[in-house]
Amino acid sequence: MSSALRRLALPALLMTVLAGCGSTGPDTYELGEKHIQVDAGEEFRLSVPVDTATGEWWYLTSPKPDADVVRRTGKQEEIKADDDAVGGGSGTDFFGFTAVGPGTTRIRLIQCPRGACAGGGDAGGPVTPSPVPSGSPTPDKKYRATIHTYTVTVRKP
Amino acid sequence: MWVGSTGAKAAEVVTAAGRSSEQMAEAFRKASKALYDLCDALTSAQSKDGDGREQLRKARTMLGGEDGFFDDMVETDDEEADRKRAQDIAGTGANYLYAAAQEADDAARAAARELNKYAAEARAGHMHTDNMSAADRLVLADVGVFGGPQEENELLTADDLERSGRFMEKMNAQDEARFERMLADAKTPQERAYLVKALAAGYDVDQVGQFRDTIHGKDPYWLQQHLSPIVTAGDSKGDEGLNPDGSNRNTDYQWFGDQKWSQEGNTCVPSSTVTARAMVDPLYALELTGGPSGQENDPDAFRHRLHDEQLRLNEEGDGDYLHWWSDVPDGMDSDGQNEIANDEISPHTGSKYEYQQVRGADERRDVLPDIEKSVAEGKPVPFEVEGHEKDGGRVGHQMMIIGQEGDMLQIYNPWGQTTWVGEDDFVNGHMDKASDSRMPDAYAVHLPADR
Repeated sequence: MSSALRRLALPALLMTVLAGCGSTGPDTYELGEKHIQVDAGEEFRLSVPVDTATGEWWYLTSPKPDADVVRRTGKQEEIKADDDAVGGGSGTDFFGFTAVGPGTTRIRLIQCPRGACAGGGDAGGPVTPSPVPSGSPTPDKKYRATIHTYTVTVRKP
Repeated sequence: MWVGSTGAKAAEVVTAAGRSSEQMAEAFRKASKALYDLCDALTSAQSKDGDGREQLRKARTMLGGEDGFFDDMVETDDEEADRKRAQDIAGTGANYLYAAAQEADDAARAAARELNKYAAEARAGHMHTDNMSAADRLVLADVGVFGGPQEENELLTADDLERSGRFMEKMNAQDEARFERMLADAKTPQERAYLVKALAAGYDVDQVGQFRDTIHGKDPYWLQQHLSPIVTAGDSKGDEGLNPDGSNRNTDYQWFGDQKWSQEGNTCVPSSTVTARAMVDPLYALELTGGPSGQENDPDAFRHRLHDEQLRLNEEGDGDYLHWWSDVPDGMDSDGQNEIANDEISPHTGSKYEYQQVRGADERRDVLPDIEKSVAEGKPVPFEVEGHEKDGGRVGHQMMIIGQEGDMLQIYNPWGQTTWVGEDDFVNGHMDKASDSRMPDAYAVHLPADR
């Protein structure tokens, strides 16, 4: 890293640390954190990067988590993009949950590149990977849906 | 067997003439209806306008003449009552005038839309050249891209026919004979039509000859896959409801083999421009799909070339990058959007693009006749959409209007898909049907203007 880059990186790091100091709200788990432990009554969020510029979407899919263990509270999307240009930027989706009672359950999020998922909307039912017509080759990975599974253990408070 | 001057066989001529006469009969019937509708609407508007003026005259009479110096200073109760009544009547009159103007405006727009469409559809007539017989022109105008219904997938646009006819008229005798020989030797009507499209795209006879050597004898499916990025399915206009993200469920994905004609990364503007150019320039399409030899049939290699081209156009339009030392594209401003449309698409359609903001519903409604005329002629219209998140974040995206039928617009989205939306959707901020609910509002268009 050049000295110029180091000079830029240090203030950026300090700003990130300082911004984090003041943050409150529910615990947030990133995409790599697939095993989560929370106390009953606690709220938590799953944070995933979403490629908004290419029309990607994320949904909670079936089977849904055990309602006696966790309950979904909502979904928020934050987008960072240039106001003067089109086609740029990226987003983060936050899936919020409340830990209801002790136990272990799975939360499944489906990552849908454009055209990779079916269901939901006017079709009804959960959003699931688009079926591949029989006899057709499996689509390239970038056109396929991915299901991300989180195992959540809720402890007694 | 009778053979026309470019090799159009009798059966092709008969089929084309049959279809053309059916279309003509329908066009005349519908154009006649459009004119009658316009006439009815104008009569109704005229009547409303007359009523409005009458009300205004009545209101004016009720107010009486000026009383002199004290007119504005003293008002009796009777005068006040008269004034308020006159005010009400004048208000009603003004509303009539407004309704009349609106009715006449809407009717004129609807008639212009219909008549523009039928003018563009009388396609064989756009080709003004003595170098080709009427039968040959008829057959050429009737050729469809393989893979979809002919009437939804006309291979030569009205602009292609007009430009190719003009270029043929300028050819010297030697070039004329060479081009005529290429057309006569074509193995299929599609091969012949792609040669004419290449000429229309602005290539000289030498370049068209090289192109001909590459595609000669290929079957219609190969030609579609390599030369026409977009195919419109017969059931593409049906309303199948919405996806959970607000987009149309009825969407056609556009493929070369198992790879889409879609953007890689944050390159919507370069990507829609690349595909639009490939739609109007078959030599360019073949470079992307068939590689340097023009003979490749490798979707992965196509995808690699497509992405390289998206990167080239991002640079050409001075697009943004993720950060100042990154080479990963991250959006493009309006100057860049217009610049690459002019550099890449215009030379092959003959129309420069002009950027225009259309942030209000009225502005979007006003621009529709120009959009309809352009796409009916075969000139794609780039446009931008946007939306704002609750937290204030903005998302912007570029798509292309590539077709129009009745009151519907066909949209190519560089996510690799086409779909149809209503013109009312374009006007009223429902373009999420072609993109998603993050970006419902069309706010700018790039309109082709004749040179």
